[in-house]
Amino acid sequence: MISETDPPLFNLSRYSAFSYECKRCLKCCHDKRISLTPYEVLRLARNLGLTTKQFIAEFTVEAGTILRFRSDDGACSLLNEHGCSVHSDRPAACRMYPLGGSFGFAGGEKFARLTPHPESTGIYGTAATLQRDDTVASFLSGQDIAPYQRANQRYAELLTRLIPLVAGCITAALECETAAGEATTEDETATYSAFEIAEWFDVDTVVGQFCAKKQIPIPSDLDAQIDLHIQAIEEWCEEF
Amino acid sequence: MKDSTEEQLENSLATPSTINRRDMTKLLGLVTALSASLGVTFTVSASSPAAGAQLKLKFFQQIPGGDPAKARLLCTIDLSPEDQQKLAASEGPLELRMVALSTFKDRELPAGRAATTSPEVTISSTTIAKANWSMIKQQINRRD
Repeated sequence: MISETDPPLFNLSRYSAFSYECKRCLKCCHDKRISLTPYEVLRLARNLGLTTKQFIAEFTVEAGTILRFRSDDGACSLLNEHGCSVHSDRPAACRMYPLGGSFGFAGGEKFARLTPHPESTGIYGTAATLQRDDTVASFLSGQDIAPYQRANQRYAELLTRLIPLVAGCITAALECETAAGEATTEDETATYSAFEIAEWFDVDTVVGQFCAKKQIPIPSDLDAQIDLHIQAIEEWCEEF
Repeated sequence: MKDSTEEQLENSLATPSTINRRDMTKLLGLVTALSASLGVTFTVSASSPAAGAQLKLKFFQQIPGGDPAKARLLCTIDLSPEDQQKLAASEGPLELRMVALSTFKDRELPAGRAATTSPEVTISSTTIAKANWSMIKQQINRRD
């Protein structure tokens, strides 16, 4: 029997037979670890009428990268008595549930059927109930994940440009440290990291500072803000 | 305000391209956070060499504009079992670099500094997509 904690098997394509009907039991909105990209942070913040700095402080842990869940009942911090308070801007992982998605940087995608919570009342399609048109693709088309995939792909492309830069910097810094007889302590690294990660995921502040420096207006469109967020990071990296 | 000792330390740790420890940590933090938020992982591609496969480097002479299938084999380099194991165990794309040893003398370095550059000159470089970076997006149970 497959347990809820077994690792998912990414063996489905867009054309695989699949259907799922959510019954709003909200079991899947408890005791989860949901990672957030800067795009998701921005959408969630806008939905709540908050700045990204305010949203990160109130609704995330690990400096804006993980959605906060309440410690008392394990519920998502964005859940209220009516259900998801940000449903139209919910994160990609929640949109895809009960599927998981694996998206290659160079293209290609696979999906996994996640094992449901044992008390979930959601209804999965079975061999007896699945219709011809019930596929992973048809399920995803109703979840509007395309904007998330586009933004994620852009950050993935940024990451592929940053990784060689990091590798080069580490090599060069280690050589210099060795020459100077010094070494970075873990404590120093931790102090810097917690602060700096939060700074980067605060899209409003990064974009605001970038626009002020360039003397351009801050765009209201989310995609344009993500463009500038990525551009700001890239320009900062060009200094090295 | 930074005291002079801290400033000296940062300067001493600056790389030749001027990155200091603070910026390097900032960069590391960004990469770590982006990787975590995107759910970045490595997936070994189906085209990776199978375990136990004999790996060789082959050089072909190609005729410009000619049929690549008719290129003439000039020479073959067999990789040792140890080198094959290293290649099989590595993650991510591999770079195949053809290098030549320079006949120039090492450039002069300041006193006390060891040479960090190699006299090797890269003639060509090819990246082999051995593995694919992927993003995993899914809900994860907290007790996993």
